[in-house]
Amino acid sequence: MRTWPLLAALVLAASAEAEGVGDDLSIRSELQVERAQTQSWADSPFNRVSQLHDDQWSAEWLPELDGHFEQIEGAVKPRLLDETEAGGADPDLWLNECWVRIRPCDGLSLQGGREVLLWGPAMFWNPSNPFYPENNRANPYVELAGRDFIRARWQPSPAVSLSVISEIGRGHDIGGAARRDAIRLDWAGESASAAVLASADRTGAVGWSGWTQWTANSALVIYGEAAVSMRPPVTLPETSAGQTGWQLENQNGDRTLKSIAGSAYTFSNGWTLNLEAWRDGDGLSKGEARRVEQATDFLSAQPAGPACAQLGALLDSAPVPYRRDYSGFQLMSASDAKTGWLLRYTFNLDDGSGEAVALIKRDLGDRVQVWVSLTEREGSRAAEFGRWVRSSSLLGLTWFIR
Amino acid sequence: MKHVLILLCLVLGTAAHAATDAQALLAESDRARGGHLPGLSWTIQISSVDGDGQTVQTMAVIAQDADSRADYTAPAKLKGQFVVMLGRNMWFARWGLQKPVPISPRQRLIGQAANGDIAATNYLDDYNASLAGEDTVDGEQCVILQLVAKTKSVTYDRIRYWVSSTRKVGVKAEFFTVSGRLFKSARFEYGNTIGHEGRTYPFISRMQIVDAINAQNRTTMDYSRVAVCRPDPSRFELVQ
Repeated sequence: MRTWPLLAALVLAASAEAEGVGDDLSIRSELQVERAQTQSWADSPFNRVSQLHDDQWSAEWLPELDGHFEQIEGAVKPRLLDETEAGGADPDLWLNECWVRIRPCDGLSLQGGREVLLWGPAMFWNPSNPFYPENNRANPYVELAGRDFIRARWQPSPAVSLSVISEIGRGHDIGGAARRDAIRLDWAGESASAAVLASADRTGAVGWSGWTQWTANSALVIYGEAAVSMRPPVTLPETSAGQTGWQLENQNGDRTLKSIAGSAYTFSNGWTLNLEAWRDGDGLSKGEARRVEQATDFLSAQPAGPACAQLGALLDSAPVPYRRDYSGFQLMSASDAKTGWLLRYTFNLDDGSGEAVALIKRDLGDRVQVWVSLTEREGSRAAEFGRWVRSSSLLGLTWFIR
Repeated sequence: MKHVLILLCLVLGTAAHAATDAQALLAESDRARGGHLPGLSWTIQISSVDGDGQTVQTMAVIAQDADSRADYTAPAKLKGQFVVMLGRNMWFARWGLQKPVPISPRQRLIGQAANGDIAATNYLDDYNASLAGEDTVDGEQCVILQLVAKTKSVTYDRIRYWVSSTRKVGVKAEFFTVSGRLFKSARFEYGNTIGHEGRTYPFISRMQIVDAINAQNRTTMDYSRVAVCRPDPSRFELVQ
């Protein structure tokens, strides 16, 4: 617990120092408290491995400092997390983002450090982004883990830019390839814009992706994203005559297509409705999902030991529990509302499960904002949204220091 | 028959001349609101009064042709929030939203101000202008221009625009929906000046917008720190 006062002292010291710096420095401090509830431990075969408590609490402190001075910009975002599952251990302290950007001459920017690198017009999923395709699929207030990048961007005019991006480390994230490089070309026309991107992972496998959007009229924006890339290696169960009755086999993936299409319509009162449908070619097919479900049921009914180890390896496989066909809608209040809200529903068309998210934020003056996020999931215990946490609530208090 | 043809030529010629006059007047009035300049930077303070009370926001804007970027600088809760407009493509980013998202021109920023109101005004590119009469605004002789949107993707479908006959600046505007309903009106003041190509021009210092349905809903935009400059193109990047 000694890290809490240490970090608080650092933020307060930076705030005091910042008084003489000017308006180019922003300091925020956010406190999040989350309660997550699973279905009954005994009722879920997946909890046999994950062993989530039925009722979990966590508190996270998210201070942020960012600013710019002439041609140099930067941000520092340390994080401090305390969870009930930690069993009395010290809270986790890490640096989720810390980067510097310089603009050595007009049209050129260079950036390096740890960041969460996001883009794409779609709200639910961004397949055009090979680094963070899963950016907003869950609660938008739940932060993604930063990774280490270096990138250069040449933008000779506002309408055209060329970027070279290299992921050099996984940062605070875990798993996945340690390195991926990409080159990206952006274009913006009169009413439409687009980007194309080629990327390669450390094995040399090349993927292509891109996005486009069109402002159809003053209220309607239509957009889409797509990617063609190699499916990551998959661990799938096969029946066997072994001790547990199943064995796990690693299968190299084929080239798959991932795509999403959507639209955003702004009503005259300022509310905006997004409708999206997408297909994730990396997700489990109907046959693969059935085998995973059968193996999970069979393995979870056996005593701990080899069966439990197999179950853990199976559930740790990259595409589990994702399926292929989804749709979603999001309704959001006007961006200038003092009490803002967002409603979102994600529907897994393959297994019938779904996730609803409601978010309400309220400004308390110019420096304090309080918000609540509620998530409710439904579906069978084998379905994507039915197998882990059933409901969660997140309460946040943000203090905008300067 | 000959007289009819001469009369027809005169009518068409007069109409074409009037249209040219309207377009030329519109081009001159645009410059006082940032249009047709190599680039601009300015600071806008937006004060909005409605049923929830008063809200004040400040943003730093850079603009080049039809492209602009507005970074919120106050209050503290809005720092880090920005709007990028490249042509009619618009993106909005704010703290907590995780990434810039595309928005439509109809999306409001604050009060009665639309996204198009914070950018440089290029009515000449977006609207067809015609002369619609003359009028006096606060004792100043004005020409009324009828502006009709060239495309459906602009902020306003139709505008009645009062342009000072002597100063060649827009002093009053009424904004209409597609159905022809008046939904807000605006008054303009020109207390700033800019220098361009060796000459000095008046420049907008205040735009006051009043809701047509509830006149108590008012938004005032005050423009300051105006400078003619070509911005660094890399400032228009979306990925943060």
